[in-house]
Amino acid sequence: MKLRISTRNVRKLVSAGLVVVLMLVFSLSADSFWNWRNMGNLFHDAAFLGLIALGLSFVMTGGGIDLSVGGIVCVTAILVSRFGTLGGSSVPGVLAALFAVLCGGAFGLINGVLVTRVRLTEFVTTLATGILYSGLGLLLAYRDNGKLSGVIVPKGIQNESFLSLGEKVGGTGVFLVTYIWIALSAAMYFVMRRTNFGLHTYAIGSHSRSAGMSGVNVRRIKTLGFVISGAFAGLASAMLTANMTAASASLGNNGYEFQGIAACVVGGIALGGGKGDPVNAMIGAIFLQTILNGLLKFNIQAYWSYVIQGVIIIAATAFDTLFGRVTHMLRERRSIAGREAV
Amino acid sequence: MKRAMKIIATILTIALAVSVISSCAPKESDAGDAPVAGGIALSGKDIRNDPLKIAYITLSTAGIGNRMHELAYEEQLSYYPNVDFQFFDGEYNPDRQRQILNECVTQKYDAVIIEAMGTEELNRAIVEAEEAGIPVITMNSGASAIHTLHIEGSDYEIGYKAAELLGEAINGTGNAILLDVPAEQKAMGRMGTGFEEGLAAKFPNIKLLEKPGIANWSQENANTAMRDFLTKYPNPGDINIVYGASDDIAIGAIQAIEAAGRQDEGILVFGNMGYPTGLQAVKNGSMFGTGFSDIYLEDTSSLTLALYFISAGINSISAGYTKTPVISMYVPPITAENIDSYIEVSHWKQVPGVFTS
Repeated sequence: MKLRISTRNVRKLVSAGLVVVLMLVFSLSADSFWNWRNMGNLFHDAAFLGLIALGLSFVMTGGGIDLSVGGIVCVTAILVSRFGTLGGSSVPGVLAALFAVLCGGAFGLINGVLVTRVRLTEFVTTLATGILYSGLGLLLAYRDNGKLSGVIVPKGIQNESFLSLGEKVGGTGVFLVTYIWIALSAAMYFVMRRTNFGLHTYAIGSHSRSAGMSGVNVRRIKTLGFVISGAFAGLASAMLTANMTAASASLGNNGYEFQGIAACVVGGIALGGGKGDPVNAMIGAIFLQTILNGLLKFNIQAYWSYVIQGVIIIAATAFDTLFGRVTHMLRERRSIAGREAV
Repeated sequence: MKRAMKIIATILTIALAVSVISSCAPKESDAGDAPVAGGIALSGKDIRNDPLKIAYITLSTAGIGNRMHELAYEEQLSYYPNVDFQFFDGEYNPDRQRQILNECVTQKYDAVIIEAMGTEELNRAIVEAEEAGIPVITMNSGASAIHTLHIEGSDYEIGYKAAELLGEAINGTGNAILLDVPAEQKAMGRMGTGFEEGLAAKFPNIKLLEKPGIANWSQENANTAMRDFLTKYPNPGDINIVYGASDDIAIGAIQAIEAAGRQDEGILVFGNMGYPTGLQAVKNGSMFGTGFSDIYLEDTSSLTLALYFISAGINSISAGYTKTPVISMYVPPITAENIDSYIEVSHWKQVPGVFTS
């Protein structure tokens, strides 16, 4: 029996292989890497980034870009922390998470409407809304007892049900967010690969105009992509806020949008669209977090980790270009050989 | 469809395997001799001979204060070659600090000294570190979770004192601008509050025109803010005094005043921290005064106390603290009158290349 692996799976295997190699290198060189606590932390931190990248994968596969997710994380963190302790009551954690998803989705919808209805470019729109959302987050953070004050007073969240979202599950040592991320990645893989919406996203990412001429509702699919991206950023924000036990107004400055995009690119999602899926985003998030976690073992300064991340993103993009050329060439040859045989 | 189901099944199987294996693995106990809440005593260590690991998690490695941290810890640790001391860059990012704190627990550090970015955001990580038997010492910017020790400068008092000195210098009448700490750190850095309350209490005829928080304590951001205020208040006498929460912020304001050509209006600027740039500015007369936070003393104190906690096997949980002990260190005001004596004793003279006069 001849084993055939599709091109898209080869790319996944390459990224996953690199993750394994990285983990092996760090395991052999650092005592504290390969233990359950560290793995729990690594996958916990990867889950936040992974949720953001998971949402972004829909926008990017559709050939777009969303630079507003950092802003969405910031403003949703403030909103959900206020909602979670609404009127001094303890709103159930699940409801608070759902609220965050809805908020994030609503912010994504604004992006989608601006891009598809007002016809602004995605780059400028999401850059601007990202700044706007971060600003809104700060504005809300400055509000104290209904009044604008000159001070951000950090408020610890006391709602146990909400805080439990940021904890480990039972005695497993694995954080709830990790399970949620894995489950949602699997579900979204199915959505991307097996539903009309997913297939239309690929079509738009490959060639938007052709897709439109073939009857794909480009506006709707693109808008939905932004809604999904925002919703996942909102969910990540709620889980992060629950873990930190407080909303931080500085979350908007953390560059989550670029980390998320980097995770997608490193995982194998094409910046130009049409290639990749949520599993790529998942692998990319694990890859980047493994590097960050591993570098901490050697206390390599932050600027070096940025340099290394940058080089990796360039290498991943270069690899994709080369890989695309090679597979295209092979396909051509096969096609010529097939015609000659006929 | 079948293929998708296979992939989903594979992912779920991996997730299940991870959880099953991890549930069989040793739990918190693998992080060290972890006491449980309520207090199992930690075993103390021989601080002269046992290999020890201490971490210092900064707000950020940007800023000249880190040069003094390096000097202070290097000098002290030359006596303790058995201590592996590591600086970590918090990148002004509570999420990053949280990750680093978790990492310190994983790597079984013996003590952690941290400038916390936010009073609440690191609480869970701090409690986990304490539960793992690690004494956590916060420096200047603290956290609300109970931990082993908080060391801070007398921020409120120096702000109050600056208000007194500046107010007297303009005879209790005029207009003031406060360039405060970043908004999210206002609850911790209380020099601006002290200044504001000092003015209100002592000089009712001095009006506080503006009081923005300066993001990242940055000289550039302070410069921009001051430039805007100089445009908003364009006439001589519109602004009489400026208080900056740090010397970098105050220097940014002075640069803006000079760039606007308004240095002859007699606007008095007061800084804080006693960084070399601030001390030099006081010395050459461009800055009215500054507060002298003795970073060297704070650092060496934190290290000495960390070693004591390690030696005695004490942290907030083993000692059963019900609130975090706080040590407040005096921050004296520096003006033209006493600048020379402070420069003479300042450890900044030992830091190569930062003090030119």
